[in-house]
Amino acid sequence: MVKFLLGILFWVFQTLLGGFFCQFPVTALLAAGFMGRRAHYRFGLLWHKLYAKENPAASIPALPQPGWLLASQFRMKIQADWQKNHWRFPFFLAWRLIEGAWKNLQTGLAQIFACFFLIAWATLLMQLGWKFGWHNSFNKGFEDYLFGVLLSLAGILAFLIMAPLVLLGQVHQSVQGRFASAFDIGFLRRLLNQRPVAKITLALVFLSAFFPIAILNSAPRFFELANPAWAELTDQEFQKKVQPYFYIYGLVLFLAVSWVRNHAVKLYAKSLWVMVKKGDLDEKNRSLLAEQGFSIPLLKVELIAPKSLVAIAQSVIVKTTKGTLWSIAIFSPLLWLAAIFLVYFKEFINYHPETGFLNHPFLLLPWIGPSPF
Amino acid sequence: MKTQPSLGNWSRRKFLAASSAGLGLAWTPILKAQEIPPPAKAGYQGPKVFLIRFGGGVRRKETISYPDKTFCPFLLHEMAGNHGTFLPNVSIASSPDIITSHGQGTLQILTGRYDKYQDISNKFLGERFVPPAPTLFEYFRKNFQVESHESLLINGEDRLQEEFFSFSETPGYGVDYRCQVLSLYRFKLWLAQRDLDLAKGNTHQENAAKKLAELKEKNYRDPEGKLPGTQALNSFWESWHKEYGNTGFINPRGDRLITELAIQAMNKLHPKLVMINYNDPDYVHWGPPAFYTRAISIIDDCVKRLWQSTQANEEYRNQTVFAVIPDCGRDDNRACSIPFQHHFGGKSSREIFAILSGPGIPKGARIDKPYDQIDLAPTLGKLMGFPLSLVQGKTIPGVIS
Repeated sequence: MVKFLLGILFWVFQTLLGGFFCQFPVTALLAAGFMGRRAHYRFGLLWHKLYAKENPAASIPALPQPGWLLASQFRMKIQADWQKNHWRFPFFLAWRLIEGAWKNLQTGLAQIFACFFLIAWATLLMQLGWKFGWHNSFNKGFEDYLFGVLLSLAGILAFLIMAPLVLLGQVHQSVQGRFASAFDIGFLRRLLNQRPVAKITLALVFLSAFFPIAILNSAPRFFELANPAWAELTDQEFQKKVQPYFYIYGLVLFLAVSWVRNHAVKLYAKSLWVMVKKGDLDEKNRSLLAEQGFSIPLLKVELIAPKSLVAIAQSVIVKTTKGTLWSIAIFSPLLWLAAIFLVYFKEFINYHPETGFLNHPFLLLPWIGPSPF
Repeated sequence: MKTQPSLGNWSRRKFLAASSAGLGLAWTPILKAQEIPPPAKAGYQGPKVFLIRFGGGVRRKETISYPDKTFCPFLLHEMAGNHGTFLPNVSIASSPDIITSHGQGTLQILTGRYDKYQDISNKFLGERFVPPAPTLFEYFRKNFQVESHESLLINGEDRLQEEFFSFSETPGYGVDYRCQVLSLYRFKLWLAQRDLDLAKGNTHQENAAKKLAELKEKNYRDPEGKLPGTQALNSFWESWHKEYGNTGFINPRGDRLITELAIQAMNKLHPKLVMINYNDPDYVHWGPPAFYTRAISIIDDCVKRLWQSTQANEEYRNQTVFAVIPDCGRDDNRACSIPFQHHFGGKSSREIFAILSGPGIPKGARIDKPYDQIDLAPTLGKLMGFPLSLVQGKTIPGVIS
């Protein structure tokens, strides 16, 4: 019971800290890294549970939980450091106290850079389309309006295609501990196609999590309308009044991003399991998983080359019902389109400079965006 | 018992009643022949007025609050500072029924009243309003012998609904006293009619008729296009067409377009009362702050050009009153990175200003006393010499010397 309560308290502390970190771009980087390392940990838990189902004799190893600041398995590590060298222990201790933060920063940078290259070209097209379209309206060059519209449509299409891959790419990068893993688009697409219905659930979770964020992002626009007396406050008094709102916004954002990431980890783990059982896992990814300590079940011994996209599509079509296929083909893009609509909605209500389109908090930096503070 | 005196079978009462009726019937043609006609309206001899709507929504911060950082230096330093009277403390009344927006602000300026406005068919977010009281144009034309093309409303490309504020449906006023409207939409209407006339009897006639009908439908006050045009306007559009062709892409765009329309109207239509609906600052709705500040600078430049054109035109030189007033302010939302993107009715969106310059208006004066947006209409009426009977606003005394 005590352990349970302590666990709850620890979770609350981590969440509050995460919410605070989501308020500023630099600390949001640490939050991104922390969530990446936590994805590795959660994958490990899930994978070993799945493995243990098929192999009851196998034991689930104790996996190191990531921390915000301290090194994971802190006590164990400083005990080992003390044994190693008493004289240098103060330096080891100093390092262990910030090792977690350093690893979060490393992981965060790797994630942001990788995901930026994956998705920024789509969001840049959306940003340019928006800016050009209304620049065009302002200067009334209506004969050129199609350019802005087409840019936006191209960006939206690119976003539709890349967003689920980026979500899985973040997990893939975290699990394998390699920067380049995020760019393994072929593998990620095969993974996504293992369980077609999962595409809908991923889109649904993304949309559901983003909805309150879009509301919280837009709401400050209406503060003065709801509280006319606030117009008389000085800047400092005003800041004191609204600061709690942004704390809560950061907290909700952290929880929302965590929920989406956790769902992506579950999808990744289950789809990978299906892939392994079908024998679709290639040698390269198999060995990378093994390097990280994730056992692969011995159910399928032969290692086969990755199937072509056409072959996978055919096997999916054969095994999936027509109704499900139609749902996936229509429903999933609609859900993603709804999520994109929310981006345009929140930018119209509460425009941010270029970060409004370029940074999606679920795909890049988990940051509430430019605030007046 | 007394009995009524009688004439045969008629009583005296009956006789008197019949006689009166008969006399009345006999007298009517004589009266009609001598019917007193309504007094002839005098020609207008007063100052020309350019009423400039500094739209779509500008804050005091970017215009008048910081003279060394203003984006409209001509208006603030030259027109207000040297040539006219500056009223920095004009505002829109605070009330749940008074919305700070462009259509409502324009009608408040034109009618001198605060009214609650609703789309004519209650469409969500619709802004097709009908002026609930006479506009300045109607008061003007009712009191003076002024042709319709001598009172003009010049509207921009985007807020089409605001060019249908040319008349109200108030008894005694209304469509007979309406102003004419100059806009790209009206040019397109003229062009479509011309195309239909040229296409009569050939294969393009049906398409041309369809295009004209589609354009006419946009006019929610006159969807069938029954209100007649004028020869003066036809000639105006003819010369515009000669100069700029028919694509609509060669003429200036945005607020520069309506400035060009105003200047050409001065030379060809000789209007006496003109309202110019500038609007481009409203594009900050889409985010980039530069759209807003640049639009303010462009309006400043346009007003400077207008003023210089009036000084270069003998008919208008030193005889033109400029009245500049925003339709509404903008928000000052400190919780947002772009605080002035919208105008949701907060304090800042109700804070505006006014600048008046011209004959009869004190030069270099400043009136800090608070006034309402609706006070401009009766003030202009007083300057021009006609009463506004249905206004709520009051005349600004310090403006009329």
